[in-house]
Order: sequence, then structure tokens, then C-alpha cells
Amino acid sequence: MAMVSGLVISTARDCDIAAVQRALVAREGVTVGKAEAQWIPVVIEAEDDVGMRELHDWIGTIKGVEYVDVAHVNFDEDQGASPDDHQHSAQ
Amino acid sequence: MMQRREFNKMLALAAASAAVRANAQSPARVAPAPAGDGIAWDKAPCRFCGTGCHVRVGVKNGRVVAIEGDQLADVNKGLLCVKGYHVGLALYGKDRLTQPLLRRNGVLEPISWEEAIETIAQKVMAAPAQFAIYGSGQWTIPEGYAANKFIKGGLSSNHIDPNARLCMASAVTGFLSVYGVDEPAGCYDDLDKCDVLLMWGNNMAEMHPVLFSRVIDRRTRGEKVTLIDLGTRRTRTTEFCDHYLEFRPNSDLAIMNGIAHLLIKKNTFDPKFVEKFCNFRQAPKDPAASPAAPLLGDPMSFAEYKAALEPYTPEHVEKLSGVPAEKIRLLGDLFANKDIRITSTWCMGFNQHTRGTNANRLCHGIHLLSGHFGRPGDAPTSLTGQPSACGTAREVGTLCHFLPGGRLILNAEHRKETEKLWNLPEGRINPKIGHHTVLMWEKFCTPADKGGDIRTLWVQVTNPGQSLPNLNKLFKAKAGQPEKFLIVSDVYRTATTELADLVLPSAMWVEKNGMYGNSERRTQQWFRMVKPPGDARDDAWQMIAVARKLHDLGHAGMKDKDGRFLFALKNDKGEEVPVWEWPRYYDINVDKVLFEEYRAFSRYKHKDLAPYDVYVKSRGLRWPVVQQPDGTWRETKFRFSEFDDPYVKKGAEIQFYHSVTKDDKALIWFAPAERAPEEPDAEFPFWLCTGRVLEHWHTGSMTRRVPQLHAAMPHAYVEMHPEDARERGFANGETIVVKTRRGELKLPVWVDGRGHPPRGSLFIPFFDERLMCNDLTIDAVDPISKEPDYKKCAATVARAAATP
Repeated sequence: MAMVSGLVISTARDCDIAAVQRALVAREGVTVGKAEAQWIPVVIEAEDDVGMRELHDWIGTIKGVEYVDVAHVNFDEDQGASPDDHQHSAQ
Repeated sequence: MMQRREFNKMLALAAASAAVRANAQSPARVAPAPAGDGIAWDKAPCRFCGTGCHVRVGVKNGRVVAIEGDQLADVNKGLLCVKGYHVGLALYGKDRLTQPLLRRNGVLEPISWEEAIETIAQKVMAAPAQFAIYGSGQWTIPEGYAANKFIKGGLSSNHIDPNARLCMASAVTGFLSVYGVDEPAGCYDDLDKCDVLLMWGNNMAEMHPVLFSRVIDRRTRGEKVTLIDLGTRRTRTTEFCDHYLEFRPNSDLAIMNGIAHLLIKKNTFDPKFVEKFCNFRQAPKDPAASPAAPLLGDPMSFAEYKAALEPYTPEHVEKLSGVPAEKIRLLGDLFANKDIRITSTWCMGFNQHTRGTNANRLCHGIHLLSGHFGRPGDAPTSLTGQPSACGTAREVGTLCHFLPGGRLILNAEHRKETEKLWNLPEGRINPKIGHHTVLMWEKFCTPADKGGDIRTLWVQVTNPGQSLPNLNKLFKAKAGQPEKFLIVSDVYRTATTELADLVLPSAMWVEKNGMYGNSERRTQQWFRMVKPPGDARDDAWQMIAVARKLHDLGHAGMKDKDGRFLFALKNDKGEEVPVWEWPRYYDINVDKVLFEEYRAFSRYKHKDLAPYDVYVKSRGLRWPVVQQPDGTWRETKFRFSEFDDPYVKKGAEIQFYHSVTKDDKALIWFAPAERAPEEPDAEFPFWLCTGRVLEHWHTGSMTRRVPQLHAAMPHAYVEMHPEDARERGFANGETIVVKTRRGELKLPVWVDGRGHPPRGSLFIPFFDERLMCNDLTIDAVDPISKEPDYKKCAATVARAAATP
């Protein structure tokens, strides 16, 4: 199962945006697009949801990153399984 | 050939890059998704909140496989929140309802649609006056219109109300009593222009994250915008704010009176604006004088208004609210400054209170008094929680006292106009207001011999078994009353289907055609893109099919005055299509036919809607949408302002053309600070507040089926201040009991969690069907809007082990 998301990273005005880009490029599973002003487009990919969340959370910890928005998500067909803890039975 | 994963990456990067260009305000804004891989793309508004973001939906092999923010949409400019980008997965929970189910001997058993429709029709025929419909702001516009016409025009009954009664009814009564017409004058563009954003009990970072991101991006671009959070608990929004003003629950009326007091005391209000555009109002001396008396109030002079505000000095307000006097002065100084532009936003923080109408009124009042109104960035703007609370509940008028287009049940002329537009015999529409939500459920849960005059209740697109307040009284009491019959149309099993006698499987979102109306008066349209699972069918079809069955059974109300069926819908050739037969339902675009019929209602309150086909080509348009000499249709961003609103007279500058006082002026209300309906005491020493979380939408019936969202926020909790927890020896995560006079609930305590309530306060989110906080909430309602108070009641806590 592969998951792919397109994110928009907002950085602080006074931050070193090149340093943020370097940190992103160095991380496996992250593809960095062309930044404009204080925003950087990235694609993150992981094998499962846990991996995606780890990547998303990690981006938020990079110095200078203020906000992470999502612009695109792609999901494979086998991801529709819902959790099993719904209490409402056939009764 | 390009690998699928590489293609997906390319799509994702294109979408993100386009959003970056939009943020950076680069002229090259639109980046169409790369073609290929067999994915067909189309537009739709998001299924969840009232923001009204547009998404692009990628469909392959009859299934939604990708979602991206729509770069052509002004609302979200290509961005989405965590719920929005998972909206496609909400269709694919493995326990979708796929066939009608009838309860027999306590068990829900599959039946045919024919039997289901027949069952409903027989129940209605048996006692039409004891039948009610409970819908929501998730009904599409045509769905709500069909339900409204069916019950008000067909059954001569007004027992229909949406769950919007639970979330924005106080905003409606606020707008109506101030401007004489519902819904905000401004729009989201105000967020781009304001110098100060005041969020009144409004956790925008979690509840309307795309709008919040829009403001934060302004800061990132180097613009100065001051954010002020006024609330009863610290939230994610607080972290981004320049000022946080924490107030005692129910004391925001005092704060707003304090601002008005300062504006008058320091003579820093806007006398020209007030004189030209405002009158003053207060609560009526005799609220029972007429049904409209509480809404319209009694006139008061400026001198009386000034005198009423006299006690609200900053020091007195500090005493009432806990907000330091210097912070009240800060707010007073901001409103006194005409060189800046101030936008106020609110949502449930104002509305879900027993004085919700007054909170709305006073907020409009300080904007009017100070003249912070009518310029881009100067606006009091309510936000809604549901995708079509505005479009369907408010504009179509699916509330028990409304008719379409802002007309009123109690107004004989309005009933006559509606009968004319529906081609009904005179007198068909019942002049008596129906039961509002809380009353409807109280009557349904009360035995007939004790005054419970609702026998059969049909719920569509909402989950009252979880969202009503005081559930033990207003929902669970239905159990064990065989004469009461509950019908539920939904896409999943919910707390409501638990007590249902008949469950109907519904199509959802892009499984059907639809139209929504968002918080900023924007009407949106989408087409069906995939088929619903199994035998699930459109909600509007269900309503029309029952209407037709009643017609065939001889119910006279199902015919218009010429003997034609109420829903005799025709194709382009003028031929009637039997849309009540499911195989024929999509022979024509039922949405288009119903919308065009409804559109005729929209002019009366200057909420003009464009033809259906205009919305097909747009990402929504804000009403009034007025045709231009060249044939194009122009939306209106700023209502009542001459520079933008075509209905404002030349030279008027500002014109409140639906003024209550018929003089084109708005009303500035005075309302005193009030006590809450239930306050903490020795037995129940805590305030209990309830609300939402970022990951889940309302009762979680959809978002809890999305694995990613469920994993991110798996269960409800109770937030508590660390000192309160320490005093009681509660460990973080420990299961405790929260108890009120109405019920009790065991759930884990979260200290220093996402939100931070002050000492003596608790917060529980309502998304979790296993831990339903509405077992605890109070069913006291605002006397004007009839909206319940979910934001405060008295509670106590104990170790779980100490309670049997």
C-alpha cells in the first residue's frame, strides 16, 4: 500500500528557508518542489498511515516551519476499511 | 509507462505547487492536474463543515481514489484541512448501510424499498398531524426543499426542523433582529482585509482550519494582523493569537457591554454612522404580547441606551467576567480606532447558549456603534458548522417557523405567496408554527396519553441520538414506547439507528447530485460521480417516493390545486417523468428542476440565486447573484454597502433595506449580562463545556470510519486543569466519572492536552458514539432562538472506582 500527499509548508518570515529545504531534501520520503516567497510545496510518501503521520509530524518540528497544510491526497483501494469499534450492532 | 506511484507524486506536487503560488499571490495560479492514469476529475464542495472548501474529486473504476484542494476555489485556494483531504474515504466505511431494515421483534431485518415506502406512507396516513421530519444542514438544497414542500405544502404541517436549530438558530435570530434579514453582510474576503480579527469563543484553528490558515498566511506574507482570542479555555487558536482574553462562562455579554460603555463614555463611537444608519432596541416589556415580540423588542432612545450601559465600567466587567479591566480598555480602544478594520467571527461560542441571540445582537451592536461595518475587513461574521446550514436550513427555510426564501409561517401574506408559488389551494399551509427541535423530540419521547403529540418521526442526514442535549430525556426515553415509530435515513449505523424502527440506506455526497450553501452566502453545485453501494438511494428520492405513495393512497394534500402531483417533474420536452420510480430518478436532473422551482422564492429577501447552470460552471457564487446587462451573473461580496450591493440606492452609502424599523436602519440592542441556567455549586462544582475536535466532524459517524482520522483521535476524553486533577489525585489518562444532574459518563481525563481549561472547568468533545457527552448536557434553550445550551452546565468528577 502506498500513500502520497501534497503538502504546503508555511515558514516564518525570518527563518532560513534554505535550511528548511535542506532538512526536507535530506529526509527519505519527501520530495521538495519550488518554493515561492515563504511557502514550500512538498510531496510525502510512505507505505502506511503511520509513516505518513510520522513524516507530517516531523515536518512540523523543523525550525522555521509555522504551518503545514494539505493540498492533495491519494489513497489506494484497500484503505477504506473502517475501524471495528463501532458499538452499533445489527440490533 | 509511468509508474502509478510516480504519477500520484506528480499529481500531488502539482496541487501543492499551485497552492503555493496562490499563497504567494503569484499570477500563475492554476495548474491543472496531469492527465492520464484513467482518473476522471470533477469539482464538489467538501462534505463536512460550513467553510465550503471546494475539492477536486478523482474517480477511477467507479470509486473515489484521490482528493485535492481546488485551486479555482476562492474559499480555499487549493488547500484542505485534515478532514477535507480524507473526505473521499468517508464513503468507504465497511459497514455502509445498503438495504432498508425494519425492526421486527426487536431486530432490524432487511426489507424491500417498496415495503419501506409503503410502511412510511401508512404511518403518515394514519396520523398526518402527528408526523414530523427532522433534517439537517447537511441536506442538500434540493433535498431540504423537497422535504419542506412535502410536509408544509403537502401535509399542511409545520413539524419540520433541522439540527441547525442546535447550532446556528441564535445567529439567525441575531441577524433577523438587527438587520431584518438573515446571514452575514460580509464574507471571507474580510479575513484578507482586516487589521484585527476577534474570535469570540471561536476555535478557528481546529473548526475552520482553512479559514484560519488564510489569516496566518497573511502574516507569513509580512502583513500585520492582530489576532485576539476571547474564550473560556485555551485552544490551538490561542497559540497563534496576540491576546488571549479568558472569561468566566456566560459573561461575554458583559464584555460587549463594557466595550459599548467605553465607546460612549469616551465619545469614541461613530455618531454619524449611528445617526444615519441605526436605531436602538431592548428586550420587550411584554414578551408574550405577540409571537414576534421577543425578536423585535421595544424601541429605546440613545439616552436610555447610554444609561443602560452606565454600570458596565471596565472594573465592573472585570468583576463579572474575570477579564482584566485593562484588556476591556484594549478592546474599547480598538473599536474606537476608525483607521483600522475589525472583523469579528463566532460560531457555537455565541450560539449555543441560553442567551445566544443576545450575544449575537451585542456583537453586531459594537460593530455598528463604532462604525466598523460595511468596509472590506470591517464586519461581524458568524461561521457555520454544517455544509449547508445556510443554504438549506436558513435559505430554503426548513425550520418549523419558516417558509422558503425568508418567509414566515405566521405571516398570512407569506403563506399566500408560497401557496401561489407551489400552486396550492388557498389555506393549504398551516398557520401554526411547528415544533422546534427540542420540543419535537420531547413530544416524540412523551407517551401520547401524556401529551406526546408526535407519533412518527423521520430523521434524514443527521444523528440526533448523539447530538441532542440531555439524551436520556430527549432521545433514549423513546425506548419501550411501541406506539412511537422512528424512521432514520443514513449512510451508517449510528446512535440514532439504535432506536430506529425503520432504517433507510442513503446515498452520500458525490454518490448523488447536490447543492450546498456555505457560511458566506455561497451557493455551490456538484454532480453525482460514483454510484452508492448496494440499494442505497438519494434522500430526495425517498421523500418524493413517499409523497407519491401518499398520492396513490388518496391523500389530497399530495396534489396541487389543479390536481397535479406535488412533485410532477418534467424533462426538457415538457414530459412528466415518474421520478418516484427509482430506475427513472436520474432520467432528469431532479436537483436542477427542484432548484429552479425554489429559485423563484429567493428574490423576496434579495437573496437572488442564479440559474442552476451558472453554478455548474462556478465554484459557488455569493447571493444576491444579479444578472448584468451583458447577460452574465454577478455575485455580491458585501451586502448593504453601496460600492458592492446592487440593491443599495445610489448615494445611500449603507442601506439596510430589510430594516425591522422600515427606515433602512439596523438595530443596536442593549441586553444585560445574565446568569447561566445552571451554575456550579457545592454539589456540582465544575463548569462543563462540550464541542468539537479537528479530526472529527460532529458526531463522528463519517470521520470515525476514516482510519487515519480515527487513529489520530480515537476516543473522547475530558480535559481538566492540572491543579484540579492533582487535588483529586487523578493521573493523566485515568478513567474518571463526570456527573451532572442528568447523567454520568466514564472517560479518560486529559491534563495538558490539546485544550487547556481553566481551574473549575471541564471540556468533553461530542464526536465519540461510545462516550456521549450529551448524556450530561442540559436541555435549557435560548427563549428566542430555541437553541440549547451545550456550552455550560454544572458537573462534578470522581474516581471511576468510587462509583458503582
